[in-house]
Amino acid sequence: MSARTSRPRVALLTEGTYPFVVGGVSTWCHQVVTGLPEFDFELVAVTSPELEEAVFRLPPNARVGAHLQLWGPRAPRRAPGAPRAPRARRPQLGAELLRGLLGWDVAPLDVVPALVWCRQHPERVVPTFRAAATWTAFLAALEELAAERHPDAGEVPPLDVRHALELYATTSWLARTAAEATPDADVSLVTAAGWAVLPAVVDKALTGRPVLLSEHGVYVREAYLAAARSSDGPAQRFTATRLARGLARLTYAVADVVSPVTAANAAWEERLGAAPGRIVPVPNGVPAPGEPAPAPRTCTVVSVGRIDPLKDVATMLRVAAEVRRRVPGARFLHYGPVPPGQEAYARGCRELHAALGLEGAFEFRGSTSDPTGVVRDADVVLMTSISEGFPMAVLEALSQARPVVTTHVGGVLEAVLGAGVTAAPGDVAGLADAVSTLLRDPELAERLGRRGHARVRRNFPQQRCLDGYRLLLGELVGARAAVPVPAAAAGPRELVGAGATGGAS
Amino acid sequence: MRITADQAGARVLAGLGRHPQDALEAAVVLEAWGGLTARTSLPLASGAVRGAPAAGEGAPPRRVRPVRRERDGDDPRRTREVLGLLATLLATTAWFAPLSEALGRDVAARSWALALPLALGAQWALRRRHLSTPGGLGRLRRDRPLVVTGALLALLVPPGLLVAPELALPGALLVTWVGGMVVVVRGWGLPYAGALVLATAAAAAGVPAVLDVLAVVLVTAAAVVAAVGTLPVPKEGPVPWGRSLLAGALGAGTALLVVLDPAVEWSGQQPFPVVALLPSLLGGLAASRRLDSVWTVLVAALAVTTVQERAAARPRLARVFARIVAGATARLLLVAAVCSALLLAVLQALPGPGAPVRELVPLLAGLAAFGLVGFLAGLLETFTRAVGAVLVVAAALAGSSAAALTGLVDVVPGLLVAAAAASAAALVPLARLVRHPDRTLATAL
Repeated sequence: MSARTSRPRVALLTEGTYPFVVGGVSTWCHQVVTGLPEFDFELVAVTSPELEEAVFRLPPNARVGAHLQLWGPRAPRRAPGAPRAPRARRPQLGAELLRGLLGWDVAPLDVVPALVWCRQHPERVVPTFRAAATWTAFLAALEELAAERHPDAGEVPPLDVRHALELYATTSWLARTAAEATPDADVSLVTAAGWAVLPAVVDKALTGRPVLLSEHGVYVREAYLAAARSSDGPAQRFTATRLARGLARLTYAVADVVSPVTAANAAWEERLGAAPGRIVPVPNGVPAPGEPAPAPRTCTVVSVGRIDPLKDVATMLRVAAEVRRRVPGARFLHYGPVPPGQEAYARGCRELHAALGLEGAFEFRGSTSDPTGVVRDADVVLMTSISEGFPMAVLEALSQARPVVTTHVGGVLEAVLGAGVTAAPGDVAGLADAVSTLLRDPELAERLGRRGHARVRRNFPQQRCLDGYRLLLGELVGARAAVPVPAAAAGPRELVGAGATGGAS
Repeated sequence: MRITADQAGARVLAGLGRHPQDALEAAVVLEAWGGLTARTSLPLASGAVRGAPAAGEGAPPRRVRPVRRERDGDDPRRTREVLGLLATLLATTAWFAPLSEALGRDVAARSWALALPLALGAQWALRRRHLSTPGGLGRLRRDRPLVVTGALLALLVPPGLLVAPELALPGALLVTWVGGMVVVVRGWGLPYAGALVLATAAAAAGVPAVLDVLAVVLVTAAAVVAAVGTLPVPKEGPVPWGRSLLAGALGAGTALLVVLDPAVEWSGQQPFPVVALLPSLLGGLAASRRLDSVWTVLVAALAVTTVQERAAARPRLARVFARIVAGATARLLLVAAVCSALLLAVLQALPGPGAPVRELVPLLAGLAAFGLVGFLAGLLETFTRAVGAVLVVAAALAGSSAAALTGLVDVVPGLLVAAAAASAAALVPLARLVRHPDRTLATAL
């Protein structure tokens, strides 16, 4: 461990986002690292192997301290200069991780010793998973898992050997992620209750480094949504969602503070084991808006968001078609990239676009570097997501005094209250009614827009969001400084999980 | 919104078109498509999952997607690759006579004997490090140690050929064989082969042999730069050096068998061993093609076997795997035998005195056996059985040495003894590999 500097250091752990991918979470991360210059940020990014180049220019107080590319060929190694451990064996490693992360009714912290072992013996992780005994123990644990019964868990679908092979490989990557050494820091700021928490769990167990979880969407909910919409069979859905659930429960159990962007998401966190007393919502914020430009009154509807099933672009297209039937001059502009892996979904959207006859009326304009600027061209801003945290796109629209028509998911209602119209997810008629009404009644639209502008200035200034994190990070850094750093030899389970309720659903 | 547990269950069923997997999935549906808040949907979700049948019930049979790893390419590309390799070997073999004349037979033979293990080792290492993943060739230009080594060779060999050709010749062969493989893998095997044929013709027409080799080295170096430079760099990183170097050592070790075998005459009158290597090379390619079906046929068999059934199904799965390995081995030996017979016929038909059949047959049989050693070591190495692979090569080298020391080579070709020793050493690791196909694939990380 390197000598401590006087500036507090934050290990910022991300999964598939900052600084390699553009999106809401990445925008938030960038706001935090640039808005809190008194902290030094060591980024620990967990990504797929194809992400290499950072797309954000990091400020001087931030650097990429570690970048773990899952599914790549690299194996974890001993840190330079670290002593060589004896040829440690842990043939139960795969089984422990499987039970601890996929079991329905297990204590989430039971898996911590196995994760700690991975960090202590990084060079033994791959050889351990190459050992026949590890595979045998893993299969036995898988059979136990299949026999597990819980009223909320339903039946485990039949798992074939190929599923077992895939799950074994995934488990080996969980171990490799835990083995990844992270830069020295005073606090871990984890941005999703998923894979990125694994290094933070080990750091907390070994050095007492506190964990702050900032949750934007709800990781486990989005994993379930993705699985429910996919064409995967029951076994693949089972493994994907159970793993997400296990990682989320582990995160909520280990986090000292869980900070959702909206209180609306706290219900999930509590249900999965976060103690209510440790949940501190910190809503997103936007820079203080100036006087808004008047709406163009060109019957233009703007939407901003990636082309992704969670954004339910298909519903948006149907809403557009319905609105065009009622307001023939209405024009729809959509800004947002097609993220890697969603190419097929984007193709489907384009086919629907053609089938609905929206050529010239609904334009996919691709990414924008100025999401605030593009909503100025709107008379109404539309959002049809089926899952959200506290969407920046809505705040940006409100900051420009544009009325928002949106589905009421996540913390949207909290943001848009009195400044727009909401409908149930997938409610094409309801959303189309709202958009049509606002396009036909620009005075009403303007009134709602002005309310939204005032609401953002009052409730959601970016500075308030930054102050919230400054306070939380400062408290956790201070709390750690006040307590001697525990020795690595101390039992990891004593170091984590204070306050965890251990909810099982 | 008020909703009863029954209504919630019906809403979930309608949203999913099936029963929910568990309570959380039910909650997600109620929230995302039912418009309920999390505080409402989560307590209702438990009721929605009660009475649901097993998640697998009513599900359509699993569609098995073939999986292929370490895929080298489609059939036309593979054919081009084979033709390119053939041309490279034949052309460089054709240099032997003019170079022997220009530099002396001993110098030429020593150069070939030095270059062969180095080139084979480099080819195996390169294949493992970069070419075992699609598009890996483009990554070569980011691999600093390889770029530096390649640049040094490209800078030193051409002037070396002019100043001290007897010293630079092994380097020239190394550049040609390894560079040729890179160009061929890029898909440019046929034009490259054409260039080599031209060079061979030039040598036959009286162009000084050293200048001819120099031209080929320059063409090869330029082709490698173009081949690697015109491909995008894949985002995925290379295979670590440890595993790549092990593969390289195995390749070099198998080549040593040929180089050290006293029966393989490098400076005598019999057909040059590089030509005689062709049948085993082609056999190896045929065998590796058959082994690819591990990722289709075997994985398909595993996909229709549940975890609970696997113990009972093990003999059936082991038979599938064993058939693939046995089929690959048979292909290697069959293709090598047929090609050896053809080569023998061609060599006998060539004008000139020719080598006697009694010398050629043991040589070709020995080199086919050498191909078998490479195949066995490569098979074990592919499934990360490093110890087994090293044992196979070590046993082959020991067998070959023992045969030479005991005089057994007077009766049986040393390479046949080496192959027998390697096969014996491979028996146990291969049996372990084949007996537990699921374990083999799981632990081949």
